[in-house]
Amino acid sequence: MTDPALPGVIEDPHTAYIAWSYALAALSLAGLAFVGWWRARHWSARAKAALRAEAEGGEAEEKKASTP
Amino acid sequence: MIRALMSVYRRDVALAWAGGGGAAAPLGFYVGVVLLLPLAMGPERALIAAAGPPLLWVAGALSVLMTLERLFQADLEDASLDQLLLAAAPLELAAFAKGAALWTALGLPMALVGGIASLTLQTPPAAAPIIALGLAVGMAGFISIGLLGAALAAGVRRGGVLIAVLVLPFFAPPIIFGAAAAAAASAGEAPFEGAFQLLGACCLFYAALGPIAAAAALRLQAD
Amino acid sequence: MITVFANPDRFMALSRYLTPILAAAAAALFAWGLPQALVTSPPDYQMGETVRIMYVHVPAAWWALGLYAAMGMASFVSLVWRHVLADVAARAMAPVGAVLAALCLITGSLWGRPTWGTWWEWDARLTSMLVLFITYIGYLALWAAIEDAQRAARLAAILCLVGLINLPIIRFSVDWWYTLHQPASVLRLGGSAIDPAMLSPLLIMAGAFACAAASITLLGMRSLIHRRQALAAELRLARSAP
Repeated sequence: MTDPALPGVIEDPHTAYIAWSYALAALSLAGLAFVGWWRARHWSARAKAALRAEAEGGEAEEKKASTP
Repeated sequence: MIRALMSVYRRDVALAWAGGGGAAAPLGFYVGVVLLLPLAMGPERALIAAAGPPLLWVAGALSVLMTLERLFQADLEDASLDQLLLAAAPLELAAFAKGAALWTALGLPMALVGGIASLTLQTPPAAAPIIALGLAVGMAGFISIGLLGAALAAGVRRGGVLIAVLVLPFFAPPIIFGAAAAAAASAGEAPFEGAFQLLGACCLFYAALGPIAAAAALRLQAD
Repeated sequence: MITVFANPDRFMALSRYLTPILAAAAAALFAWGLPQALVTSPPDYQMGETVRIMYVHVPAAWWALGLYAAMGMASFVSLVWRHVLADVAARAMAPVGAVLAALCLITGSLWGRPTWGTWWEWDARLTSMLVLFITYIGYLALWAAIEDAQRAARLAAILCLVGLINLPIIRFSVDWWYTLHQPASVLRLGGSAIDPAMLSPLLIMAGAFACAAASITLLGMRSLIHRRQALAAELRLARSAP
């Protein structure tokens, strides 16, 4: 596949370059997706926990208010 | 309103030169870089002549970068930013006045030094005024967009690195056109007007955009 | 579009289904496009097999630019209508765009080594992509540096909009600079019209990248909204506790 006008510039084989490109593309997309998924899971759990704690706290206060 | 703007301008020019602060350090940095280059490269004429104009521009851009961190930080700390916000003049014009002050205190001397230094860097004497003029225009562009970087990072402690990352992409067009105009002028053969006009257009655009964007950012910083 | 997404609750309900659907679409498009890109599409007469790098390099470049444009629009909405979702959208798109820009630069380097004979060439396209990458880094750095989320959002929106205005200027200046210093013996890439046999895998891969980027962005927006909810609820709890 060497171009006659540019001898030696195009090397054979190029498989390593192609493989690296596709591997890095796969890795970066998968990495973004994994980090995104992990963060979404973490924060949704934390939001749920905080909201539940708040609701419980509210109920406890209501009880306290209703039972003098 | 004009009087208020003039007082902002005069105060900043005075502060830049008072007690060796503000503008003196970047100017010294600029002279130092220009002096050290031939020592690092060796005295060969052709090499220095080729490297000279780009170096003047790179050193200029970096010197402006050095001053930006303190530009609004001091105002934010001593509450003179609040005064600017309450003043009769619009904040956009006040930001423009501060930029103009920095340009007078730092940009103009730097352009002069650059013009003189270009002679020691083996450019023909006829090109020195063109190089100085180009630097003066370019510094205005750097400072204008630097206002935005300084305003965005005003509340951040040790914002120097942040400002550098924020404004570096904006520094690319002026440095491309400016260094090309300087190189063309010092080479003597190629016409430099095209690059010079593009530099002027770009810096004019920055001079309009920078203060407006900086004022928008400063309003957010204040409240 | 804006009115549909304007309500965060409605957005959360919608994105719960849209995120996996887009991810599945991306997977399907990759399954369709990858065999074409890697096997069935013809090698280039000049660059040989290395042209296959184009099918990841060019979509990465397109969406790195496209995401910045989308961030610009979101920033505009954020500044004009002061909408929380627009802030969140711009913030969620930025890391995806930054990674795509980096991917474009790295694959460009991997492509340049066999075709140009060098790992890095100050080519006009690569140079403007490098500037775009630094712009992304600056945007993310600004978000990271400012603690107050609302102020960070507004300031970042100003930066993003000004950067968007500046992007064509940078592109023009870099092109101008490149023609000024045109190197003598560099293989020109993408100079001529593209072969239809290469266009089809390129477009499929671009679609796959778009779906993947959209899905990841929605995921990021969801976690940012949950984060806001969590921090606000925790703050209220801490205040109400004696």
